[in-house]
Formats: sequence, structure tokens, C-alpha cells
Amino acid sequence: MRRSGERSRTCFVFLGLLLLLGGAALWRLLSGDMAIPLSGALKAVLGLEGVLTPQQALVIQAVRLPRLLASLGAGASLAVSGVVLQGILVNPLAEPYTLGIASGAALGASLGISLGGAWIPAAAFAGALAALFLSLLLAWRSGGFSPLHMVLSGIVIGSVLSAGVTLLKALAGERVAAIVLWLMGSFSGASMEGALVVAAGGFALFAAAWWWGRDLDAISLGENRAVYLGVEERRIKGTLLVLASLATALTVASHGIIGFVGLVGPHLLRMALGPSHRMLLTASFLGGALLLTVADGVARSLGELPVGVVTSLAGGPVFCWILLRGREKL
Amino acid sequence: MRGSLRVSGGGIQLDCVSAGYGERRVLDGLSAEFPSGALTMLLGPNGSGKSTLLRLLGGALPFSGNAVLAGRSLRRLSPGQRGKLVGMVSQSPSLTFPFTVEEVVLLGRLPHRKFLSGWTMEDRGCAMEAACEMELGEMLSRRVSSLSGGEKQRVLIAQVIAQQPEIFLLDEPSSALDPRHTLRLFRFLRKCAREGATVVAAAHDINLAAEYADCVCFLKNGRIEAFGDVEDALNDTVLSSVYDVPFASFDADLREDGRWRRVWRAV
Repeated sequence: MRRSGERSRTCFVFLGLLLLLGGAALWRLLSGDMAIPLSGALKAVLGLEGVLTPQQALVIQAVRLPRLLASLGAGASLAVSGVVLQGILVNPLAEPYTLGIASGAALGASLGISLGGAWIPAAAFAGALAALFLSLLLAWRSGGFSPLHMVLSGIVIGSVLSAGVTLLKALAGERVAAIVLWLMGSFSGASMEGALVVAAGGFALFAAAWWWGRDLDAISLGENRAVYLGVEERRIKGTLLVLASLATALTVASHGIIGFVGLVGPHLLRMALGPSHRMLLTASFLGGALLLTVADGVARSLGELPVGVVTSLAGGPVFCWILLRGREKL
Repeated sequence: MRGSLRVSGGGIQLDCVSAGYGERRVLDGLSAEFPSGALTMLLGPNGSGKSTLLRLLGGALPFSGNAVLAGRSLRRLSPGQRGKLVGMVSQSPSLTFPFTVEEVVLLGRLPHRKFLSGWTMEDRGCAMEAACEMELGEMLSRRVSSLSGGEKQRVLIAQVIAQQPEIFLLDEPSSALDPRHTLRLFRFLRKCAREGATVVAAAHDINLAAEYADCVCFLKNGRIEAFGDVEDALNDTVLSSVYDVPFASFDADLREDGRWRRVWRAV
């Protein structure tokens, strides 16, 4: 019995998201040093013979399209991870980095860079999973998987690992620039395969969370409500936690630390659509993809800034605004 | 004995049930039977184990010993079966996310959902009825995060009513409710009990127990101090020894049917 006003608002939000997403994708395909006509670009995306010169087709297929897909997939992945973690930890401030996942990835990558620059994504991935494992272990040993214990453990583990990153930076000598740049995140030089792996991680999480959408609603009521409503809480929480970490770790390992997308995207959409998970997950998938694609475009047009700087510069004030707008709306 | 509809074989049987948090043991070898078709009130001082017992019966706490709900061992029930059988109203809900009242009440239908289908007309009907029972009909589209403590409590109670369980567990359900809704809730619970449900509610209001309970169970330090029909088990001696404070009682003409009723007060 959704009120008709609410329904038209939902339609409006989804329509707006899709239109903006299409516009952002076109902008990212067409903008750049080489001018490429719209029709030719679209044909090149679909793999059709077109009016483009071989160089133009190559730029679309090997540079701009992978980069576009990478930012779409990473944004969707981070935003959906944010929604899922906020739901299962019953904490509106949770995001992929609350559990120390990002700090772990950063430490892994810094270690990889200091040791010579090989296997950086693999090192970051291993670091992310190790951080998750450590914070879960700490939470479990300190009294259970309650939201409070998990968030506190994440903060402790995250701080220790961040200190490790700082130490490596101090010891890295001339490699410190490489570490700093990696930490700030980037989509330049994204490959098609890498983009598809990141998107697949995000999509797996989205599909599982959507399937358990109602259960996730019950879990997000907190205080064992889900157990009393007959939800297999442990199994669902465990599976979603692992998938969310995987999705985040894949993103961080390929593109570096990109903050605030998992926090700001879900928040804005929850204000517009309410916290019901199936709708929120779908909207966040689209919204996160949109946010990060636009952020990457801005970073590129300002002279290839690190995208993490853009999301933090833009996301921080938005998040402040959300906080000031009233606790009730969280 | 008031509960003439009591059904043997249903209800809740506890056999040497112990439970606790980490090293701390809260319940110490409880054995009791809460009959179906009756409203049983759990009474006892703070920290006596009332909430622990209810959480355990709701399936949220591991325990040793044996607990049988409506003829089935609690341990062998799958989460889904348990959700259909047992409904639990816990203390002071926080309800962090801004769901609407209607969405929260509808989640009570979660154990009854069909594979791949959305909320059916039956689900929506049950939720609507439950919401009206708690007088929430006017605020279905309000966000729960903007409600008062008592209103949140009513939303949670409505969710459990929509769940249509055979066994109702309620942990101090009236602690945040105004007198009007307390009365409404306990009249509803008594009606459910008369229709065959097993109702177990923890409370601190002795007079509420005297008015509505069929049985009372006194807990102290994780053990059962006294248990039985309300007429026998509720008296000055038991109350004084359970709460460590003298009680006085007097008869008052408060009953709807004009009969005298005994009223207790700590002095």
C-alpha cells in the first residue's frame, strides 16, 4: 500500500539516475584529447565497423571504454558494499572501510611497492582480507559480532595498519611518491579484464544481497529481530560480509583507496527512497556507478588528479551536510 | 484455575535449562512448564534472569538442558519453523533506520513468506489488523525513527501480532506504554491465551500480573523461587522474599465485573 506520492518519487529517482548515468557515460566516452564523433564512438563500443580511424577506435576500445567500465563497476561495488555493511552492522556510518579493509589493502600495496613494485594488486588484496580476518577475530574474541564490537575492532585494526603504512612511507625513500599516488586511487590505465573482475565482484554482492533483501531489512532492525523472525541470521550475515569484503578488496586492489562513495551514495538514496533494501540496493548500484564515473571525469579534466582526492573533497562536505541536516534522517 | 482451555502437550517445557553470557551464569538449572492456553507472567528483581530466559526461548541464546516448545525440541527447530512458532517482543527497540511503520509491521510476515513471492494480500491484511490492534492505523506511513519510545514499542508489538505465533514471548512489553495501551495489550494477550496461545510476559507490575495472569513464575538469582496459579503463588510472603522488601496488600473494588481485587504495594 505504498502511497502514490511515494511511488512517483521512486520512479522519478530511478529515471533520474538512469538518465544521468547515460549522460555521464557518454561524457566519459567523448571527452579527452582526441575528438571522436558520437555515432562512431557508439559503434566502436558495440564492436561495429564504423567511420572511425584505427587510432580513434583504439582509443575508445582500449582506453576510454575500460576506464568507463572500471569506474562504473568500482562505484557500484563500493556503494553496494556500503549498503550491505550498514545493514548487517546496523550502523548508518559503516562503510567498506569501517572494518579496516581499506587500511589492510593500503598496507599490502605499500609493502608491495616498497619491495620493488611487483604484484601490487595481489598484495593489496591479501592485505584487505587479512585486515578483515583480524577485525573479525578481535571482535569475536572481545565478546561477539555485535555492531559495536565490530566497528571498534575495525577502528583498532585500521589504526594499527595505517600506522604501518606511515612507517613504510617513511622508510620508502624515493618510492614514497608511488605509494602516495597509489593510496589516492586512480582509473588511468584500467584494463578491460580488470574492470570486468571488479564489476563481477560488485554484481555477486548485489545479487546475493538483493535475494536476501527482506532478510536484510529484518537484520537491519537490530537487536536480534531477525533471529526472532526466523531469519538464518548467521549464515546470511557471514556470506554477505565475505562477499562485501571481496568486492571492496577487488576494487581497492585495482584502483586504490577511494573514500566516501560507500557512505555518501547510500545515504542520499536512503533519504530519497527509504531504507527498504531491495530498492536501496538497486538505486545504490546505479548511484555509486554514477558518482564515481563523474568523479573520475572531474579528476581527469582537472589534469589527471587522483580520483580519491576528488571523492573525498566532494564527499566530505556532502557528508557534513547530511550529518547537520538532522540525526533523525540518518 | 482460570485457564480452562489449557491444552496438554502444547506450551513450553523447561528441563534443567542453564544459560549465561561468557563466564557468567544467569540461569541455573530451570525446570518448569508454562502451559498453553494461559498467560504466564515472569516476575523477579532486576538481573534475575527474566530477559535471559525469554531470549533463550526466542532462539537467540545458546543453552544447556532441554527446552520443548509446543511439543518440539527448541534445538531441532529450523530458524524458519521457529519464526512461525514463536514471536518475541524485546525490550526498548532502537529501530535505527527510517523504515515506515507499515514496513516494520509487514516484516512480521517474514516467516510466512512464499518462495519468490512478494507480500500477499493476506500478509497485508494481517499487518493492517495487527497495526489497528495497537492503534497504529493513523501512522502507517510515518518513519519509525521519528516515533517516541512507547510508539516504537507498539510498532514492535504489532509486528509480533502480525507474525501470528503460537507462543508469545514479551520482555517488559508495557515498560514504555501508557496505561491505555498497557490495558489494550494485556486484554489482547489474554484473548490470545483464551484462544489457545501460550503467552509468557516478563513484567515488574505485580498488580498487572494479579489482574491478567493465569500463572506467575518468580525468578531470583537464576532460579525459580515460586511458580503456580496466580491465586496461590502471588502472596505477601513470596513477594517479600523475592524482592527483599516488605509488601502490604489491600482489597479494592477495581474489577470490571465489580468483584473485589487484591492490590499489592511495596512498603
